[in-house]
Parts: sequence; structure tokens; C-alpha cells
Amino acid sequence: MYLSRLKTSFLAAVWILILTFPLAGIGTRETKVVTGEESTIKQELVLRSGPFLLAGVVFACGLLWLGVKPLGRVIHAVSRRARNLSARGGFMIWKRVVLAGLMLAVIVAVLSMPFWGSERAMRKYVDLGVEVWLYVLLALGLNITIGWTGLLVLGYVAFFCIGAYVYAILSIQCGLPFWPGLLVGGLSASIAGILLGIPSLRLRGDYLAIVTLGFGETIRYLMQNLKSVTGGMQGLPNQDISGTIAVPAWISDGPPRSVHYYFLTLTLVVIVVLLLRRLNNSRIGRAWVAIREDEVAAQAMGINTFKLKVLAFALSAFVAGMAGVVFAARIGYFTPDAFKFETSVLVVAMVILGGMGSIPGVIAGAALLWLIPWALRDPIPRFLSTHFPAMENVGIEDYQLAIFGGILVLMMIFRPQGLIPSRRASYEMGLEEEEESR
Amino acid sequence: MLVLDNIHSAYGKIEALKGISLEVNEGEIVTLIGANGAGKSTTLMTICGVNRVKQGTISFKGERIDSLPPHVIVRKGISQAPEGRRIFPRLTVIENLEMGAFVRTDAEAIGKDIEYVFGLFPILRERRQQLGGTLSGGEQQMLAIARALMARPKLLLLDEPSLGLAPIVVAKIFEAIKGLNRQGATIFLVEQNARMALKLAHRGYVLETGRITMNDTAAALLNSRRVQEAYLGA
Repeated sequence: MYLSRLKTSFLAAVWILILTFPLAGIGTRETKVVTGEESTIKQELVLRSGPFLLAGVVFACGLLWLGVKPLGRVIHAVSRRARNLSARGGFMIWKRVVLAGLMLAVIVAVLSMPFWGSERAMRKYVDLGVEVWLYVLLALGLNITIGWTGLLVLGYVAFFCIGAYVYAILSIQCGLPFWPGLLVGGLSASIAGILLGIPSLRLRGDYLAIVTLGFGETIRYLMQNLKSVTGGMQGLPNQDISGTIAVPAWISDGPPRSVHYYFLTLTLVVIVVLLLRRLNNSRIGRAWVAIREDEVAAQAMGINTFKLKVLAFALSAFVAGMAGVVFAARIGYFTPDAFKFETSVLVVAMVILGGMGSIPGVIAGAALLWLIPWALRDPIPRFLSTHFPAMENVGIEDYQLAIFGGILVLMMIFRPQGLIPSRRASYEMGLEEEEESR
Repeated sequence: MLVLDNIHSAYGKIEALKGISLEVNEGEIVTLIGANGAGKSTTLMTICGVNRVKQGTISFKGERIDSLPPHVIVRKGISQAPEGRRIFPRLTVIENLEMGAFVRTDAEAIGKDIEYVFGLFPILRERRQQLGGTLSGGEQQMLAIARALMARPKLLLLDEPSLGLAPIVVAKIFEAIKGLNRQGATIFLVEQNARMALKLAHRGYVLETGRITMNDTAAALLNSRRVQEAYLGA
């Protein structure tokens, strides 16, 4: 038994080594060679320790994990005991109090975040916050199609792109102000969604995914090649996009611009969440769920499935379009490269990881999937290099994608229903009994 | 009430219905029996508009419905409990029933009708907060029928309600269908279990590879040699 553990961990380590070595195992070192007056830069290949280190970590984790299994059982038993106790009511109130306290803390933190610390540090984190809220918006929008209606859309970034370009172009050419622009951007994305939906929503499942994927790429190439309107790969000139949001003087005189965007995106998130919650409990929301569950049966119930699917598309595109407008106004300058397929995939991952169909889940998923890569890129390497100088040359940054992918894989193994699953998703994943015993 | 005249319908290029004609009158239970692949479910799906009619006409209460989309046909008063039940597994029993009443907006009457179907199938009342997917096969079938009733149909279509169920459960469901009919419901029943279906129905049609080959009162069909040999195992 111990031997097989050893074997499994060893194989996993070897596998990791094979996987990472070609990419990260060999690096180049540049050395300056000074010969007399001239100095040349000599490049030589060096072996890097990263893959071996990673393999070692996997090996150790494998051993630990496999040996830790019995411990897991103990934890499970204890948590079940606690759950039984709470079912009898004893802990119920405390649980509520703790939950309410946590909620309050999160709200206060989110609202006060732009006012922490020095202005320089603040700006950085506020910008990060704006990005998080933008992605939360995107994930909430995509959740309508993927999570509720069960339509796999893989080219979601196209709607984001349309919102951004429509606003940027109209703002430069016609001086369209921000607030109406927000609406116009959303509506044009929405119209694009309807135009895409009418022919393609007759397709199901994988076929729809492929068509939307194609749409996403088509829009990007369109923006790239419509040079006269969009500026192609050069991007639109930045000076004319009205980067300031028209707000009352008492706001604009106060905190810097990035703080405006922070609260703007936050407000949009709150509005969208409130709207979606109402929608979820409405006839339309029900009909969407029915379509996801069984389209033929939904038709037999008298639901106009086609119309409702187009509506889901239009609404989800609207949210993305608005996000696009905010993106364009804030960043001021962008090229079609900002709307790559990877972004679509990232948003899909946010929805799935957070918990399909669950609003708090999707928010958490979006925040995490934006913050994890950021942490791997910046604070974690900085922390390591200052506190563990030996780790400096490992370059965690190089493994950003690998670690990120690893986290995704682990999530899918241990929590396939998502971070905060909706009630229905937990049933699908066969966790119903657990829910009932709770 | 429902008249199918020379209906042709196809799955892709395969012609599943080759010109069938049948009729269901108000207050009747009419059954369509036939072997696997004869086209029974296709017939139902064609009536509901999920399958397109290639040729022929369907009329309901004197009005042509063969080119209408499914959601409009439901509003005209035809609802069905589809083959394999197809309840919504992740909606609760109550939510499933509410979905059945999707075309209606009279909230009060819907509440009363939920009580009515609970009276018909008391087990559903006990299970009302349970998710559809956690019900047993028989309970799911009851839910499917109850859900179809929630649209207050003038004509109820049932597709193989006995499929995969224990004889005792089938008897229970057929008893309920009989009860519904006594209260005035018109029912078109598609069944493979020919004996049970013919005992329950007033009239019957026999469907063989897309064509109607026999058409008589249920009692006559039960006694016919051909039906006995082909479908009743006599």
C-alpha cells in the first residue's frame, strides 16, 4: 500500500517534469564579456531548477496527500458531528450571526477600499478593483446564458468588444457623452446578440458553442481590418474618448478618476445583481431554467423557447456591452488585441468555477480568477524574493499559468459544482444527499 | 375534436409517418397502439408541433394547427405528458407543476389546480418540495401527467405512461387516467402495452411502420385475432 503511494507520487512527479521541462527547464543566461575596449554579450544555455523543484513539490504533496487521507476522514466525521449539532438548532443562530458579520465586513471593505493607505498604493489597488468589477459584470452577464439558460457561449468577448468600439467611435466622431454612451454601447451589443442569436440559436450544445466562438473571432478580425473606422491594430487615438464621467461637481472635485470608475463599476454590479435576482424569480427566469433542463419539455409547456433564448442572448450581450463602454472610457486607448478568445474562456471559467447559475458564486469566481493570476504575477513573487532570497531565481512568475491551471484542475476535482453552487447545481452533481442531511 | 388527415412526417430523410388519419372526439379516450418504431411518438410530437408536418392537415376544434409552433398549440388547449416523462429534474414538484401552468396567468386558479392534481396523486403532495429528479419512476410519471393537466388542456396527450413501471404502478396510473376521463377529459393515449390501453380506451388505432392498419372500438380490437397475435401475445 505504501509502495503504491510511492509509485503514484513518483509517476506524478515524473509527469510534471516531462510536462514542464521543455518549456521552463532550459533558459538562457546572458553574460557580458569584456575584451579590451569591446564588450559582447554572450548567451549560453543553462539548466533551470524550476521544473525539478515543481516535480519535487508534486512528489511531496502526493506522498502527503495520500498519507493524509485517513486524516480527511476524521475531519469529515467531526464536521458531520458539528452539522448534526447545528441541525438541532444550537449553532444555527451563531452561524447566522457569523455569516451576517462576514457579509457586513465584506460590504464595508468593498466600500472603503479606495480610501485605504497612501494615494499611490491606493491607485494601484483601485485599478485592480475596477478590473475585478468589470470581470464580475462580464461573468454575471454570461451567467444568464450559460448558467441559467444552458447555452454555451464561447465568444462572449465579442459583445464586450462591440460595446467598447461603438462607444469609442461615437465618442470620438460625434462627441457622445458617457451616460448615454453606456446605454448605446449596451444596446448595440444587444442587437449584435439578437442578430447572432436568430440564426444560431436553432443549433444546440456544442454546435452553438462553435458558432459563438467563430463570432467572437470574426468580430475581433473585423475591428482589426476596418482600419478606416477602428484604426486597425494601431487602435483608436486616445485623446478624444471622453475619459471622464459626467458627475456632479462634489464628486468630480473629490477623489481621483480611478475612484470614480471603482464606484461606477461597483454600482453597475449592484444594479445588475438586483435586476438578475428579480429576473431569476420571474416567469422568464423560470422559463430559462426549464429550457436548460429539457428544451423539448419546455416547448411542450408552451414556452416559446426560441424567443426566450434570444432574449437571454440579448440581455447577456447588453451587460457585456455596458462593461465594454466602461472599459473603453477608462482605458482610453485599446487595440483589437484586448478582445482575444482567451478573455471569453476566462469568463466561462469564472462562471463555471464560481458555480453555474449562482449569483454570489459567479461574483466570487470572477474575483478569484482575476486575483489569483494577479497575485502570482506580483505580490507573491515580491513576498518570496524579499523573505526567501533563495527563491528569487525560481521565478514564480514563469509558472503563473501552470499554477493557475493547477488550481483550476484541483477545483474541478474537489468542487465541481463551483465555489458557491446554486441549489440546483448541487443536485446535478449528486450532492443532494449531503444537502439533505445538513 | 382532433382530426389528423393523411399526415406525413419525417425525421430527416426517413419518413416516419406515411399518411395517417385519425380522429379523437370530445370526452373519449382514444389509444394508438403499435410496436417500437411504428411512429407512435412521432405522431404525438407532430400533433404538438415539435415535429413538422410534411403533408396533410391537423385540425383541432375545426381550426388548422399543423403549421403552428408548439408553444401556440399548447395555448390552443393541447398538452402532453411526453415519452420518458421528461419532468424537470432540478425543479421541485411544485415548480414542475407551475411550469405546466406556464401559459396561464390566473395565479389563484393555478393554486387551486395544484390542489386538484394533489388530490389526484396524493403522493405528489408529500413530495412537493422534493426535486423532480429524486422521485421514483412512477412518481415522475404521475408528475408528468399532473404537469400536463396544469395547462388545463382540452385534449391531453399521453405518451407511454406505462413505460418502465411496475405493473402495480401502471394500474394506479391507468386508474387515474380513467378517473380524469370520467370527469370529462378527452385523452389521446399512445401505448405499447396494448392490453392495458385497449381495456381503458373507447376506441383504438393500430399503427404499423407509419401507417394505420386497423381502426375500431377498443373492445373489437381486443377481440380481433390479428391484434391478439401481434400485440397481446395470445
